[in-house]
Amino acid sequence: MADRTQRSTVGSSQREQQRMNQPYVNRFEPDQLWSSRAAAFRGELKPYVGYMAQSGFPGVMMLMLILATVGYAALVRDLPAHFPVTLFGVALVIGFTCWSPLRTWLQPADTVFLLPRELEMHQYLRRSFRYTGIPTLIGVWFSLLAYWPMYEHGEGTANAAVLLLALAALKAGNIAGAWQERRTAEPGARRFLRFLRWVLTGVTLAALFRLEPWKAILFGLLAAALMAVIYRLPRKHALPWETLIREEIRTRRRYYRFLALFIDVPTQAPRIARRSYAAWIGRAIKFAQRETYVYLYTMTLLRTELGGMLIRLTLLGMLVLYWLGDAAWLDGWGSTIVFVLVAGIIGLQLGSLRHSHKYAVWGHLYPLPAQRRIDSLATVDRMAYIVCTLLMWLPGGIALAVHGNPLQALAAPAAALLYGMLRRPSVVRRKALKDDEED
Amino acid sequence: MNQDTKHADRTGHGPALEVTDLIGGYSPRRPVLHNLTFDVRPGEIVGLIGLNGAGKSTAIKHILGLMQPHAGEVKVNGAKLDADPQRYRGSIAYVPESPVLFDELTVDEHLRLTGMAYGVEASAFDGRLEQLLDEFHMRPKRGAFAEHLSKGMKQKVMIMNALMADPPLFIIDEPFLGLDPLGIRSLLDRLVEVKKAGAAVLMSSHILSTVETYCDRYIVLHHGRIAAQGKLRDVLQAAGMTSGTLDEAFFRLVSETAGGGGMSDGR
Repeated sequence: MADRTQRSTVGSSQREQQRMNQPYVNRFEPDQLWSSRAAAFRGELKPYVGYMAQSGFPGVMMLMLILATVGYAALVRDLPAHFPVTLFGVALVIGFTCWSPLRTWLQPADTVFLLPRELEMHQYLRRSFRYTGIPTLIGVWFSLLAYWPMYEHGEGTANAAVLLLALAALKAGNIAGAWQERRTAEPGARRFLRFLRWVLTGVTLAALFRLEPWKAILFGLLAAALMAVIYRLPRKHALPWETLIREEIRTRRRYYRFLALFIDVPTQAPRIARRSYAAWIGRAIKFAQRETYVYLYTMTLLRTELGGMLIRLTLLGMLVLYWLGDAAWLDGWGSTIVFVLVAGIIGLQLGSLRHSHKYAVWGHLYPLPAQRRIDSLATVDRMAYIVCTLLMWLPGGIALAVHGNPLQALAAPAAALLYGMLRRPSVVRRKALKDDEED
Repeated sequence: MNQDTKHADRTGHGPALEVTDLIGGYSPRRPVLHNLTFDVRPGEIVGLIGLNGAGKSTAIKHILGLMQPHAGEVKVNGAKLDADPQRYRGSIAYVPESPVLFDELTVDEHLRLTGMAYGVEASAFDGRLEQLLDEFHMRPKRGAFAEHLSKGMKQKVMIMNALMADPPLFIIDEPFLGLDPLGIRSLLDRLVEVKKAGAAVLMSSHILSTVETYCDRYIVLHHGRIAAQGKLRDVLQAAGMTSGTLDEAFFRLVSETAGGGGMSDGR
């Protein structure tokens, strides 16, 4: 901005000085705006992070990391003969390589106030690219470090320096690709491009971990050239304001959803998924006045991110418990331990359903008894808890029973059923009532 | 479940809404509403008009029971809120000034939820749903979420929900904002219909020509007081006029320099 101060008279330079001292008056300072927004977000989260730190969550994470390390070390020491070393490496490294988030701090109001400055936004965005690019690159290198002990057992011939450089290049390519996808106007094209990028990156990683380096690098370059051509095809925005604003909202929501596990946080509008395959559940609820809130909470559970999380947890639990049950780990009691753990997480997540519709104006206007909402909440919660935990148990339980461990097969679901039927509803009711009183 | 109100009846006798000496506002030390007394009878549409900040929305919140009166009382269909909350609530359908929708429900599902909440008969529900979708040209959007509806469409969903509940009293706050011309016409046609069927409607709006055409009586609110109420000639009289439009009378009543502002009960 120095070129602007080339005024001769003393008066005008004073005015200029005054103007420089006032932020954002007649002056667009992308760097300053970016920094103040980043600081505002940090300040916004600060009070909640303390609660998270006190909750014992970091300790649990630490413990799980240590356990995973010990398990991994044992796995590497006695690697089974046909272990898919390359596939494991791809799975380990692809996340940080492809996932290229972008914190822009853009807000809906920016389409009014910053839009006229679109041409000057490069500097602003450069900060964003640096802010998210560097940590994910470090993540890539860390996952490579984690993979290294196993890589040495594989057929790969590349040395560490080549891999570090190749992965950095791959990461850079993915950041550039993700940006082109954000600019793409049509959601369908955007999804297709992202899918293609993940697939080609995955294949390139597999080549790097398995083939001679020059072959892998040649393949990577060809893939990059192909993507560069394809990225030119769709209609694109110069700066995808709406996509970036949506992404920002999603990211904030994710932060708050995480923090909501520990402490009450300001509610963000939920992200909605249609999940047509589950639509029959809503239709199955009887059309009757007393079922009003059962219907509402069921739809909330099915359509919000909470439902997505429960579905993923249940599927993951099914898979892990099947493996453990099939291996009859710790005489079959190992799967019981893991079941209790995952069922606990499901219960914890499900507990956040009570924060929905707490403040909905319709709750005051519907001609329904006030207690009805909380009763229905407990009903939906109980149903969801039992369905998720029993489904999760089913494959592993069958495996255990087949291997002749009927007691181990039945103990966990029986406990979940008892807890879900008898204890959990009153806990949910009590918490919901307490919330109401506090407000 | 005997605590459930089955679809509140239109009694036919007595006012659907009766507000008596209502004093209200957010802080007891600074009331916004001063001694409001008015009623809305079955089979009439009453227009609530006033400048921004005159107290229209505050008055509506008191009627809905979202705010507690400092003094005075509100009866809906003969019931007071604390004495018979189910009857009171079951007698009102409310269309808010800015649409309030559930993010996770589609248009169809909003109507289903309202139908359940107000105890609409399952047999009557489907017919009403299809009719409303056609009337408000929302059939192509029936599976859409709130996020994908325009402001006007959201407003239509609110209106359709109120009509689905089909109670004795409709409270409609600024319904025309964002509504397209077809939507406005459908709404007005339906209001005339429910009025003929014996429902009462309290509607606040700034579109005075529409209010003049469709309302049977008017309440002019100014600085939280009733500046005039009654039929057109009563409002004209309160404004010191013998002939003219509601618009002219309103303008005289609310301009401080004009001779308006006198209390009048022209019923």
